[in-house]
Amino acid sequence: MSEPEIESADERVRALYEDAESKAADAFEDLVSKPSFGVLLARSAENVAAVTKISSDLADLVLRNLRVAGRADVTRLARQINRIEDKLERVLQEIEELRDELKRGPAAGAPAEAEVDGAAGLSHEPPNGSGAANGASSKPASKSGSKSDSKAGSKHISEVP
Amino acid sequence: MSTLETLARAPRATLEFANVILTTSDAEIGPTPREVVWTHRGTTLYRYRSERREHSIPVLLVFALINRPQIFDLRKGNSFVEFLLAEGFDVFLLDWGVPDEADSDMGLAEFVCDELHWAIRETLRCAGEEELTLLGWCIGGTLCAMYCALHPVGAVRNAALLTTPIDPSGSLYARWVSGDDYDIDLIADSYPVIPGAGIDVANKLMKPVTNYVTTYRRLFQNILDGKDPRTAYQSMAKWVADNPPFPSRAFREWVTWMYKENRLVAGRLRLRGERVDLTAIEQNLLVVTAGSDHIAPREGTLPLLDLVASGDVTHLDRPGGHIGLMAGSTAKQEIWPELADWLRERSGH
Repeated sequence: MSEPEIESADERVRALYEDAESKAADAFEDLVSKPSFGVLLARSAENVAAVTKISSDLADLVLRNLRVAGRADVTRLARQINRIEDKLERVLQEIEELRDELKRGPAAGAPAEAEVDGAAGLSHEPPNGSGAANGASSKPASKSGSKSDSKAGSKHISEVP
Repeated sequence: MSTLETLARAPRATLEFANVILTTSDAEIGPTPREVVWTHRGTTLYRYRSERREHSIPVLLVFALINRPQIFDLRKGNSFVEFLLAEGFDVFLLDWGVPDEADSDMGLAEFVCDELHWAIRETLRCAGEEELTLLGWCIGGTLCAMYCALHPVGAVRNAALLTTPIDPSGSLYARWVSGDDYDIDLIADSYPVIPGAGIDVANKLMKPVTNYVTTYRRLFQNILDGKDPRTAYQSMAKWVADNPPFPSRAFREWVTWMYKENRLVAGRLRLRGERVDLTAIEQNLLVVTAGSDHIAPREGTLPLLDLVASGDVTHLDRPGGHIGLMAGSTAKQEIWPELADWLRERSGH
């Protein structure tokens, strides 16, 4: 008889703690949702950012005066590499497009050429400017047809219970 | 367990608890074998190895710009990737990498119009298909929605968006950063890339007691009760602690356009001059919301359902949190099969 009582006492302590924790959680969540906490967070983030910038600039200045490449110099180089990689990626995509066109063979050549030319214009300056003729542009008409058919009807939102 | 027993177990449990915490970084996450298909800057496209691809339409997984995409493949036996492979899908994963200062010029347009666009192209080339499914989670879902809006007819046949912020005006984030007090320009100008740790702290502060106390208390309690939470805890804790930096330009645009000006849902967001019009989305659409999501509350996702032009829209609202919904212990039995069913019906020729 005594053991279950002891167990229940143990359980009661746990339950009490969990209850206190849950109440503290609610209270803190309430606190962080206050506009004043947002202001506090914003000021802290700004201060940390400002201090980081000052120390980073200072460290770079010291390194530069010692004639050693600093972080800013490495970053500048890395950016140039990135730009070259961007260009290389676009060239690679052009090459792949041309290779695909060649693979399709001379029979499909003429119409494909027109299509790809169009796509290439799109692909390397897509709406969004970027390269890549995507599968989108080469999608068979039948597929897009069936797709638009399926979308022709009114919208039906299934709320799965 | 009696109080005496509890006290007797406490020293051993304390040691075990400390060991679990201290060896978290050794946990293995992302165990499923995969191959690199394409890389550009820090972005990498992976294809997972599979011997049983049954559905022709490949699935491209896209995660957020905060935290790493290994959450899709957390650990053996609890991996969404592993599950999809077992269901016969051809699975690709887009990893944004770990941006550094040289990537500070990466804005939302670069992520949507270059990285995602090119990753889709490479996925199709690799799979030998003309259409795919985009499955985006959190910010990854928003980026996918933007992409679908820019390319309503194109390579994307299906779009599945999981706990995706679309209209975040009512969220806690918005309360923190949308006011004039939060000077986004000062922060974005100071940091070439916003430190991941800073974003992690902000995320955790949304539920401070839960994140800083309850997690550890539960771990200790489980150990004390004789359970073995090591694998589950360590894989999740390791993933949570891995916070890549956020390129400052993308951060500035994300905060300004989404939280301060709420442009996406208003149809006023433009990427490289092109309007991102959610009403143009025509893809088969699955929207998944989580009832207890405090990061992307369901109210901030639901407007999408009314906006899109898709004829096939499905909404799953399930209990769970922002991450727990998909990566929690019950996800494998609950939400994953539902996602697989939805995908299966729309992944054939």
